[in-house]
Amino acid sequence: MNGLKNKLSYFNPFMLCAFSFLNAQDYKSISLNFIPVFDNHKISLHKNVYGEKSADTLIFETIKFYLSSFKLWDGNTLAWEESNSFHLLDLAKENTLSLSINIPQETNYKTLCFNLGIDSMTNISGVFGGDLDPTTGMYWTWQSGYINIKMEGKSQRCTTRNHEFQFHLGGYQSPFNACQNICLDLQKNDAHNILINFQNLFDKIDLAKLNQIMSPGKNAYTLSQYFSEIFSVIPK
Amino acid sequence: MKYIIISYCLLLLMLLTSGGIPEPFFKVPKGWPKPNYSFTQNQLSQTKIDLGRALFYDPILSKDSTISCASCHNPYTSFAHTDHALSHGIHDSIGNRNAPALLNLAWQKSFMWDGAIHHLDMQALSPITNPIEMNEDFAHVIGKLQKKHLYPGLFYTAFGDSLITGANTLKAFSAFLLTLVSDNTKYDSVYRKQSTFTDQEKNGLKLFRKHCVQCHTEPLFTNQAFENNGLLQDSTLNDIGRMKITGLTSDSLKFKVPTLRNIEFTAPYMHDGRFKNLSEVLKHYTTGIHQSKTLSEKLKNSIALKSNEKVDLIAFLLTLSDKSFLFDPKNSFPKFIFFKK
Repeated sequence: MNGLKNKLSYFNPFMLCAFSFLNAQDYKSISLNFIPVFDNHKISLHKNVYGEKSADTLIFETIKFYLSSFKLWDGNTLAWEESNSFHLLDLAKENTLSLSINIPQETNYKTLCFNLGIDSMTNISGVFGGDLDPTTGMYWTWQSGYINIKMEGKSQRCTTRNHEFQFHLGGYQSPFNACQNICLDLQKNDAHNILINFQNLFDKIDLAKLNQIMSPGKNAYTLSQYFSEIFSVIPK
Repeated sequence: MKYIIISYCLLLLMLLTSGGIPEPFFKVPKGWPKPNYSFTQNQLSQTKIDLGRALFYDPILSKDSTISCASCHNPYTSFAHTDHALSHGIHDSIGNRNAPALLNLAWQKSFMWDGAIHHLDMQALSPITNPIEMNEDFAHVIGKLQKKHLYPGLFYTAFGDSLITGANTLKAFSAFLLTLVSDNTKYDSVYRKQSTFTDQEKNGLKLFRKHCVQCHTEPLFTNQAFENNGLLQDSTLNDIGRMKITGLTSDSLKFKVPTLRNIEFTAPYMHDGRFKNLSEVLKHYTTGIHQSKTLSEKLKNSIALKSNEKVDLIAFLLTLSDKSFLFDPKNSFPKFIFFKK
């Protein structure tokens, strides 16, 4: 009787969960490498970059942004989605620019979708740890809400003190919900290199006129939209 | 088979109870609405509450370790800053708004006079980092806590991890603040049929329900809306209120309707502490309303009160005092944490 009891005790709900996990398919790891460039050169913080169109030399001091809610689509079918999917990419921390995702071996997918920024629901649901921890400096303190994107640096075109520009972009409320959805077509591969061409973004900003955004609103929304358009997959 | 069924039942029971209100640390008083705070994301425990309480009273949060939350939120005045019109920060800086009383925060939907903060968990970030309050960097505060002998142990007992994070720090704050429930006023005991109002208080309640209750809704004594209550803008502060957050001119000069619970102890009144006592407040509502575009609809018709009616109304407002809350030892400075024997 005792022996039977012991055997049965293995079949408690927690063990069943464990078994179903073991029975699941094999997983494979796919890497997503984000490569920030400016004028075909990889961006190094604190070093000059030159924008041909604007004939301007820029220095980036900070570039940090959230990518979240990663999903893989096969046509109209959701093939996979990452749980607890929040990633803070920080150019000062090289390792944050490569994400590794684990998907079932047999997943068919054609498109990768993710958000640039943090969705409204997460914004209003209290405090979270990990990449969402407010100690990352990506949370406004004078008014609640995540800073989706921080870009700071210098440009001769800015007439501000030390020629500085500062863009803190966020906002989760309509009509200026700054979080942007991005979808990119992928070829079947285990590693994908995704270019983020900041020149295309800064070509659209007149730094002489617009060099400070520190709160949600129309400007934060527009720049976030421009930012969402600078991602592209490098074909193998 | 029996064991499987029992296990599933236990699991189901665990799931069901975890979503509910976390007694014994928090109870919804009879007749009160459901709290706004979602306890499922921050389960209360005594160790977490104690940690939040220690943080609340610790000046380590400020840049020069001179002021704590309790500096402007004194437990003995319902966590308001009595006698101070505007909040005080480090280096004797003076803020631009009156520090509000802290009570019944589990029901509160937004925080600060303009609703800038939308979640209790995020509230502490604001005074900690505000240059004219504690003027600290939040990540730096976490670093200081990690180094202070007391805290890694407290975080370990509260969260099972002695590595201090911003998220856990803010959750501990919330845990303590959620326990600040004040429901032991004369008004409450009359509701519970344990006491009765005097004739004067009864008349005051009648007047209150005629003139005030539209915004100061029972039983929390606030509808949590933003209203322009007819105060002429202070030209030294130029505070536009809610408009700072929404950017809408229709929100100009609107401030959050505060609760009237414990109003006896929380003078001076209004967002800038301009009125020293309740008589001045009633004088404003009867003869001092400043007309402007965003003036509350509820104040467009003037309120007339005879002097004896004002006295009766104040007598009723004093039935909203909860002395047991003020002197509740579980809310005060936690000597047992800071000075262990």
